[in-house]
Amino acid sequence: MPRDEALRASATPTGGSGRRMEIGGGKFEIRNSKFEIAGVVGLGGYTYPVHEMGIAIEVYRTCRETIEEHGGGRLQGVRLAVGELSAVEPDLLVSAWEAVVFDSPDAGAELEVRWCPALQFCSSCDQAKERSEGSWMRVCPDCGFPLQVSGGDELDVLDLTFEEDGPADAEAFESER
Amino acid sequence: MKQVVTVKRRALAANEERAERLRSRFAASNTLVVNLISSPGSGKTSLLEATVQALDSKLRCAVIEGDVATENDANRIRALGVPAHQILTSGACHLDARLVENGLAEGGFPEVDILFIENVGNLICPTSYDLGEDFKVVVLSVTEGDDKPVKYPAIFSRAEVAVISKSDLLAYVPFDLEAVKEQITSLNPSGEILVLSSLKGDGVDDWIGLLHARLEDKRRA
Repeated sequence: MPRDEALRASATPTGGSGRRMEIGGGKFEIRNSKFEIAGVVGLGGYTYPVHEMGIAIEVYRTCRETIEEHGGGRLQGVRLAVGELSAVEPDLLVSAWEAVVFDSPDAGAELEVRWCPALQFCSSCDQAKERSEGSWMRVCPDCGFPLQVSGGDELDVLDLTFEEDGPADAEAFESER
Repeated sequence: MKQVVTVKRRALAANEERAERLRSRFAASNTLVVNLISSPGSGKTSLLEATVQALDSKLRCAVIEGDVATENDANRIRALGVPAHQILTSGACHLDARLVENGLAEGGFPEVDILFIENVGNLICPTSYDLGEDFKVVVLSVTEGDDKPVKYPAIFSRAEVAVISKSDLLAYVPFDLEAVKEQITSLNPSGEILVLSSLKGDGVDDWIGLLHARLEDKRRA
């Protein structure tokens, strides 16, 4: 099943028990509704019951919808902001993304992650305090005031680049209809 | 020709929209919704068992259980006379708003005052998914070690309430309670921290008090 068709098909609740479906390079089990992934087999036969896979599929769906709104074309790359407190691991997300677009019309499209650290902010000094990643200060190292945590929860599709369908593609599309 | 399009959309916007619909529905019925998240075996179900027995008996409760396999947890809740629905994820690591929506339909619960959603045991993946809850509760048992908040900062920064469970075992395991509280406070300065033992009952009153207060707040809102 072509990638887009698979996306569309899986967007319709299927009802009943699960069915298996191949999307891109991975085999998905679609259960009752779109993108509820019970397990993914791909990339050497490992199982990835990780939420990064679901997120990659959502990002791809957003990309396709956006491109269709802009006249259609082939996705080249998408940029995603991922916060330190988003509970998403960037490398796993990129692996998941590669599995999603592999063998699709958008094969080779790249996912670029922009990492967004969380800030610890002192409202007494009115500034964010330097911290090393993964370590958290209890109070402001300069004035002892309690610190607030800001940002770091980003999980946002920022922008995408696509190659517009040429006139030949558009004609072929029309004749198919 | 190449085009660059600004998207600026949450990656999980579809889930968030669905969660907002659930939230409106819960607001209309004045139902307080609590999303419990923890690693497996920290005592979420035991806490719920203690909770439904200690809550004002006039309050109506229901529980949605999320697990990879078995009806065990839902059966434990049903044994106490409280309606429960088990969602089986067959391997998936978290619940999302759609699973909760379907679970509510399948559970066929009457209108309730408090709906507890016990997420799949996992400190990472459930963090990203809004289920339409009023607040998240992270449960950490003292046997898990006293460095967990900084190892799993996402959930500890987002959960409005942190419950440190199995406090009756504090005497037997190395667990620096004050250090854990400091870690949680640094990640979430406005969060509440409760220490309790579901088994022995210590501290459960504070938890029940918190639930009653939150329910009152919701009804007044």
